[in-house]
Amino acid sequence: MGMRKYILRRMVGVIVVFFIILTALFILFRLAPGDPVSRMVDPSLTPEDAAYLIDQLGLNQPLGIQYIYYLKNVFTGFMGISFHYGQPVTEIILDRLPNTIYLFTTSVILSALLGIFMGKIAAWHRETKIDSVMTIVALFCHTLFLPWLALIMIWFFGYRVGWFPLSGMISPEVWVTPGTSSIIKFLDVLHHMALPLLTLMIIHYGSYLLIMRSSMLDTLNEDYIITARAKGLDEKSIRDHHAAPNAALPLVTSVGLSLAFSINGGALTETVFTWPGIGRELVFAVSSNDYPLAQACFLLIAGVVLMANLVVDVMYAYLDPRIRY
Amino acid sequence: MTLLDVSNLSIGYRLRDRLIKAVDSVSFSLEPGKTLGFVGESGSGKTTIGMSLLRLLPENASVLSGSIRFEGRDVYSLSDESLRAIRWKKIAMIFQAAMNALNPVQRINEQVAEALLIHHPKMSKRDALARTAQLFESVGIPENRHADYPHQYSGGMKQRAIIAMALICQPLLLIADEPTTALDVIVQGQILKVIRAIQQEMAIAMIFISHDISVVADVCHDIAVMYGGRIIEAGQRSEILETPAHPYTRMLLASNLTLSDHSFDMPTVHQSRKANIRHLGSTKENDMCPFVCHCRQITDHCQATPQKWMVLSSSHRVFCNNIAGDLTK
Amino acid sequence: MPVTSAENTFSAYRSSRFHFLERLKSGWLVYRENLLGRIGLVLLACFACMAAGSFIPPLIDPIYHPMSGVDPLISYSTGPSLRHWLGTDFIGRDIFSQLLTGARIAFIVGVSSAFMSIVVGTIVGMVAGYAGGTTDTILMRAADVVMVMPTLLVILILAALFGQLSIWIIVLLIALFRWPAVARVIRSQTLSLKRRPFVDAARVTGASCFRIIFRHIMPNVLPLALLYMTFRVTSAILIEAALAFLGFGDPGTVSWGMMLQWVWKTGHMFQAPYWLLPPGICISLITLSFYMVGRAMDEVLDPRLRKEKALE
Repeated sequence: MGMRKYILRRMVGVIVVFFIILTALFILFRLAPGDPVSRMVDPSLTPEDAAYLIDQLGLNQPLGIQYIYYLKNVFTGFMGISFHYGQPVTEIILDRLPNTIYLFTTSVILSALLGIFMGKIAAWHRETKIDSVMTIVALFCHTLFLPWLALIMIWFFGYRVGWFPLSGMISPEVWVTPGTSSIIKFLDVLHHMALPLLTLMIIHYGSYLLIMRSSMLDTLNEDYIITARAKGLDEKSIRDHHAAPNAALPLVTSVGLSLAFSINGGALTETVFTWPGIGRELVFAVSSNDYPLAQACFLLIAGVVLMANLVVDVMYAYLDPRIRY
Repeated sequence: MTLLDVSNLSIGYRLRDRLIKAVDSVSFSLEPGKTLGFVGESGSGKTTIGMSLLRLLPENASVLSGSIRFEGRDVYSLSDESLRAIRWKKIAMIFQAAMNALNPVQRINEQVAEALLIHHPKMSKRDALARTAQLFESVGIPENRHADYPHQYSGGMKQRAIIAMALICQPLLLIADEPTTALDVIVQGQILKVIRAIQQEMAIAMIFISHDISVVADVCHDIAVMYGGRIIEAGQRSEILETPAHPYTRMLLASNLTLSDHSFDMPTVHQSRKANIRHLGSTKENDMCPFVCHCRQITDHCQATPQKWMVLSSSHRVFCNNIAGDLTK
Repeated sequence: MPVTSAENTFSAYRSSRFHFLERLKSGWLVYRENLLGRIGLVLLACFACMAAGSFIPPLIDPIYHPMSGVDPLISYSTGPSLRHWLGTDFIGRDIFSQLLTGARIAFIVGVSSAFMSIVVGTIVGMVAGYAGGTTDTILMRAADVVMVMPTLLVILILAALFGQLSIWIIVLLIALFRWPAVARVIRSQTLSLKRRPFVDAARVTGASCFRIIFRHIMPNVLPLALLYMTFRVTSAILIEAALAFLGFGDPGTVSWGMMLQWVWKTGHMFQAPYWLLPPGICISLITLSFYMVGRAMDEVLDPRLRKEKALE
């Protein structure tokens, strides 16, 4: 029951932060050099269309009213028309969002699991060859430059060996052929996802491994581990049932904290592999000065980051009974 | 038959470049249902002995010589599997740092029941929990608190839960390592009462380790006084309390107001620790008196020659050769 | 016990202010035993030599200038040769001299932005920890907000709004968004220092808050700040490289990220491994070496880690 209050308090916090970000973005768009109107309304529109859009966005009103319009539009999901696509930006980002979620959540979950598992093994065999090799490899992978790794992956697995497609998310010829079963379609997406997924995992598992390892080393010195051993538990059960669950707890928090870092990586990966997600759309929008689209992508990402942090905190509170009141 | 027989046990800790002997040529034995108390200041090797009985020494510690025989079998030559079968089922332990001895993310009754399930794999979890509840009742944990997490318990309750955990498999030997040190005096008394009652009721042999001789005197049949990794005097409770022979034992008793009204200055821990290391680190330390730096009755003879055990009665022995005249007083 | 606390006061004060060199020396003795730390230092020395050497090629012949030096005989990308040790890029500029300049940019970006974020983070952390109360809450909430923002994307948005960013603006922005982690650590350190007797002693003798923070607390949190600086350096280098890779770097400089962007955008990644490999290896290695140095320093500063090692 204390849990509900805790979640509520954290949610209020998230909403406040989101408002701050919204406001900061509003101010920045007006502060930047040049005409704010031309930043939200495509200069190549016909005057009538432009006038209509300006009216809708409230750009002809005084600043205070503009801000109200802006908030209202954000919450009703109208954030302007993309210069490049000529469509409402909300439609575009809602179309791209699932693609990002597939790639991103899969990569975070898989690399966290891999990192936790390997960190557990490394800590268990501490100060042996296994440990040093695993730690050094993890350090090395963790510090690789992501876009470069992505290029190398494409060059090697896509071009030299030819196992995986070079870019994109689907092979159009598979999808336009009528009567393709959904399993084939699914496998096609999986085939395209393999390289970006692998790239993200190589970059991210290392940090999870290192955190898990040191957390596990701390845990192994705890008295309750000796208790478990004295009880006559075998070593494997001690490691998996007593040490690992305790050691993995701080990892949950660090997943949350490293989320911002992972999202940077996600955007880079999407861009290099031309994966049609939000991150790539943001990079594209910024390069082509498509301001409404860039703004919407950024707000969405910020919102998602905040929500994910909230989820992580709640999860932590749920997993660790000591926090739960 | 003797339940536990430890002979000539020496244990050392490896540090970066040297070996520190924490336990030196310790011998004792324990009959079923009896209680033996170890008394000594911190660093005297009591806990190391306790941990070694279950082969729970840290990785950097090793048994240098001697043997530990439990029911006639050498604990240190058992296979891992037969060792696990002895752990907790035959020898259970109440740990020094009871506060941290419970896993923070598991419910307490489940942790206690786990010990039972390990050794009775066929038992259902429900039966194990029912047995746990029964035992919790007898150590005085209210029923609505059984399924709590450790952080919700007070220190005394945690200690009760740990006692319940130690008893759940009905062991033959219970090692209680400073079970009451972290508790306040009132709770300490309650816990000691629980331990004593259960020990008598279930006729479990017990090794009770404490720095507080009054607590040990309260619980144990036999007492062994340790200093600098050695037992320096051992005997029945009455012999130790009434006719202490070793100068250190006398100081220990004198420093405890409830047992005597003489007063002595005790050597501070700082000094004795230093002496301890210097003594143990030297190579010719064989059988020299460990207390030589602080002894008030020291003679040239003490410093120059190795000490021998003096047998004062069938149960009372002392590791000091400078007492003959003294005892007759 | 007044005597001991006076002793504490004295020793903490002395050790922080006058015995800094001695502490450095004993720290070095621990550091020296860490193999990865030594490797990291050697690698960093190599990169420093590269950065220092980056001025030489243009002096030998203007065709080796990393930006404007175009070999009159070559107007396309060629492989390694005696004339161009690592080959040339798509308009015939020397890749080796670009690589050297990249090292210089990486050091400038990494060290200066890390330094700035450490200064901001340390001050915020000390003030928040020492002042407590509302100040603390506000500063730490602000830190939380900045912390969860993906720095790269924030800078991208700013680049979209304010146009092409120069290298110093990039450095400043990275610093501006990378201080919260430092502030958090320094704050918790300050909280524990605040309760030490020597701070009480200073307060009793009438030292101002300003003086207590900068004369008494700061010397004690500096080693920790220095440690965090190594990690900030890596993240600053990576962010700058990623920005340049995406095409938002300073067009007036050559950085390793920008070299990778050229390989990628001009479609040379399949034909020109001699061009694709070096900048990526350099970015990865320089971050790795800063990271290794940081971990070795961590061991110096955290006695717990050291003990674990000593016992094994």
